[in-house]
Amino acid sequence: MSWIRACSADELDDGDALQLPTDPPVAVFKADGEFYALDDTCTHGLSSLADGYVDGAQVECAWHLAKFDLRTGAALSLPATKPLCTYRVRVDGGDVSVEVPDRV
Amino acid sequence: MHRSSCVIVGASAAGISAALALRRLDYRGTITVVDGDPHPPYERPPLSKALLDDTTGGLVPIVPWSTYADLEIDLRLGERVTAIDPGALKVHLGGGEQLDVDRLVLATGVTARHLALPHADADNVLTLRDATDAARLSAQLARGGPLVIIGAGFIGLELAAVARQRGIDVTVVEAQPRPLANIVGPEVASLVVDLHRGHGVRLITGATVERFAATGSTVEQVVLSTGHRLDTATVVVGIGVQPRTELGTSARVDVDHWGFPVNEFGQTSRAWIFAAGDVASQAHPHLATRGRLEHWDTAQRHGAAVGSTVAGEPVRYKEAPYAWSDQYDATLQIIGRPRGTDQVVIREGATPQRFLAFWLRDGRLAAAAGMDASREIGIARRLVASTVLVDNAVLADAATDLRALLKPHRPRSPEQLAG
Repeated sequence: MSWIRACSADELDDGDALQLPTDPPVAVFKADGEFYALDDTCTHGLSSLADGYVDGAQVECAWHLAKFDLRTGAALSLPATKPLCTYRVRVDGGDVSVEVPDRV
Repeated sequence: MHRSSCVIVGASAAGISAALALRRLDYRGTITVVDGDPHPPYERPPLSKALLDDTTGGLVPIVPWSTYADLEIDLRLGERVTAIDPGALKVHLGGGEQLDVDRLVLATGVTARHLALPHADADNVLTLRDATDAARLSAQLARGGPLVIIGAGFIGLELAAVARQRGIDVTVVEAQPRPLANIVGPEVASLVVDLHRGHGVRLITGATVERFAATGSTVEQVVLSTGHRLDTATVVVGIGVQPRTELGTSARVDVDHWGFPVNEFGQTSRAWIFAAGDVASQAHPHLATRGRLEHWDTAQRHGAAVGSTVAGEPVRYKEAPYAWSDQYDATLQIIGRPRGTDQVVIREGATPQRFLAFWLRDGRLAAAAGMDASREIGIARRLVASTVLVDNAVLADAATDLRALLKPHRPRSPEQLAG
């Protein structure tokens, strides 16, 4: 695992997300003032969750409307049944960093 | 104490969602799901979107197989319900067995309509509803084209896209002047037509099948009302569906043109018998008249609402219908039901590959459709559920951040609104 810089803290508003070009891709969300990092690819239909709709600490997949908990990665509704992997996030000064898996 | 028993006919998105909702709400009775399809319950949308290579290998399960045992949901797959006996409270199975029932959910769905023409049952004339159909079609397409698709609805256009991506020669025949025009209106339909023509699909509109020219049990030519004679290796008929209401007779529940008429809680004319999903004839707030909502998302949500009602927590299903359709590398998404009387707004910069369309009704967003615009559609879904007044010039402006339109009126989620 290694830490990479994702963005500056003021780049994302509540409800915003961005996709990191990692392998696998990781999405960084800001919800209710907190930053979260999870797998970007929905465990059901392969869409990018950074395109999803953030509501509270949940993100809804933009294609098939599965919901995930941003804090735990848990799948909260069908059609998804498998959780997302979550990653550690650090806000240092004005920078948001994420601990991502090393490329294999 | 007598244990209550719920029987669900159809291991479909609606049927399985109903079963899961029952257990989620602590329903203590037995739950039995009966379906003639022998495969473990699977998602139907992928069947037309990426064709299977064999009968089971590519099927996407609705939930992991172990879930049914964990939740004590008894699956009776490969068995058919032959009759309902409402006097004795029994469900009759094809093998002669009788199941006790005091709550029945009919999630029997729909079957594909066939053409009433000679040779419409030929070996290479297919429809697509289930895993067996998909496997047959996949085997047939492996031999190559040409493929003639009758009907430019969702199924027909998705198949056209999949077949073109396999390099197969495709002709789509549509009776209406434009495909999908009844669903998305002429403006968006034209964009979808351009997308398909750009990928080499031959589209013949305003045409119907006059006859099939066959040798033995194989159709070799499709002859159209326009005089076209199309050579073909495979014909797929995607001209709509018919509700599976056969059980209505023995159950003695009302049946109408669309299916089993239900109230807002999914109850049929007999209070302990419910209908969910495609087969339900609903007076839904997003429909101009009573009808079916033949979408997977609807099936799932309607099933869950009915399951909840059966479990003792009544839920009205009134969320905007949502459908998506994979077309080549993009996804077409539709929220709500556009009407001919709505004001249509196409966002600036629309191309066949990426566009966003809105339909306004009484100053509010009633429906939206997007190609490769899933982020915006997610927000549009909230706008449709909200009471926010929207302005057509603002929606047309490509620089407008749709989420900002929601902010002054922080809406409740569609789920809350449905409750």
